[in-house]
Amino acid sequence: AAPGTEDSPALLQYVKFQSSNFENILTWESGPESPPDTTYSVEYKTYGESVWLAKKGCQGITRKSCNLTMETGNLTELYYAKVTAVRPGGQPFPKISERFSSLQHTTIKPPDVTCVPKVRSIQMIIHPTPTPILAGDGHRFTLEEIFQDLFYRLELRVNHTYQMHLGGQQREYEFLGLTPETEFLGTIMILVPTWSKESAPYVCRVKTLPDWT
Amino acid sequence: GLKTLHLGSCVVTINLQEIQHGFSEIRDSVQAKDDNINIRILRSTESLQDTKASEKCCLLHHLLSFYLNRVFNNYQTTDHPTLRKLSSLANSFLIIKKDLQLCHAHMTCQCEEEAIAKYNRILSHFEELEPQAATVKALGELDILLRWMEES
Repeated sequence: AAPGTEDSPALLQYVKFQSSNFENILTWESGPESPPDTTYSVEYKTYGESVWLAKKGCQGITRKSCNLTMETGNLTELYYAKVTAVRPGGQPFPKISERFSSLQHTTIKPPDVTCVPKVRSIQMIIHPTPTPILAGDGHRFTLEEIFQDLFYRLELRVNHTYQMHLGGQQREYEFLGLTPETEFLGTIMILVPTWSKESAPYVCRVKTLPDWT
Repeated sequence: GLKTLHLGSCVVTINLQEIQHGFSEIRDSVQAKDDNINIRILRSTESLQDTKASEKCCLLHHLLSFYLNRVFNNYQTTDHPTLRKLSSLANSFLIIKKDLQLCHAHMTCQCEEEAIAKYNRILSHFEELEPQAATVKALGELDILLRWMEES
């Protein structure tokens, strides 16, 4: 019976990739009529290839997610994944994901930042963000290496009406001319214009040091 | 948002981000119609960035013409937002093509063997398929062409 028909009720739905900083996780949900002992097997392939490859570690599983980061790690390729649900004594029910490109689909996590308070300034040091993507020489690509036009946007909220803004592609910034012993709220985001990507903000609440002079 | 394409001696500036953004709004619905995921028209072996610098302009010129003449106007849909997006994409391609024609006029867009051979291979992949299926697949692969342009 064709998948999703009366003889083969929908055991599976919403097969999709969830990708964040190039960590690519395939997720799915059980169907409205799938019994708890339904098991799932995952396969994947490159778009344009005919052979499906079984993902070791995600065969006959009961959980509803599978990490395909390494299998979908080529940034220039496009991929598909297929989940096949099986209930005891029943027909297998396969469902294929949408075409997946990690460059297009990955979301960007907030940056890792160290906020350093001084007497009349606050320094913000943004640390590079490693990804699971391996370069030819074995090192892990950072987001900055993958996205040439990646830049940072920093904001320091001084009070309800006044904010200071800095931004650029370098990693160290300093907000100057601040009042000693005062609390400020800093937010730092990553933006990638070409792919219309914007991270959630990293937020740091910092108090400038007292002025003992 | 502007991107400068270095196609050998031909250098053109395009708004690639705008085109990518426009396509991203119809990509999933178009790709969902492509039932034959075992075949790919724009393959890495014929990619723009793996083409000799002096022949990139010619290959891109042919690919833009291909999309204008064989894909955008043959894609069948009753969905008006999609039709508007296609029209916008086609206009963007026309603008780029006009710039490439200027390069051609200045003898910096020469067509030689490699570009023609690659383009013919792409065309044969396209023509192996049933016409409407081929149009759907080619349109669904526009993100591949845009990435070739971004990396060239």
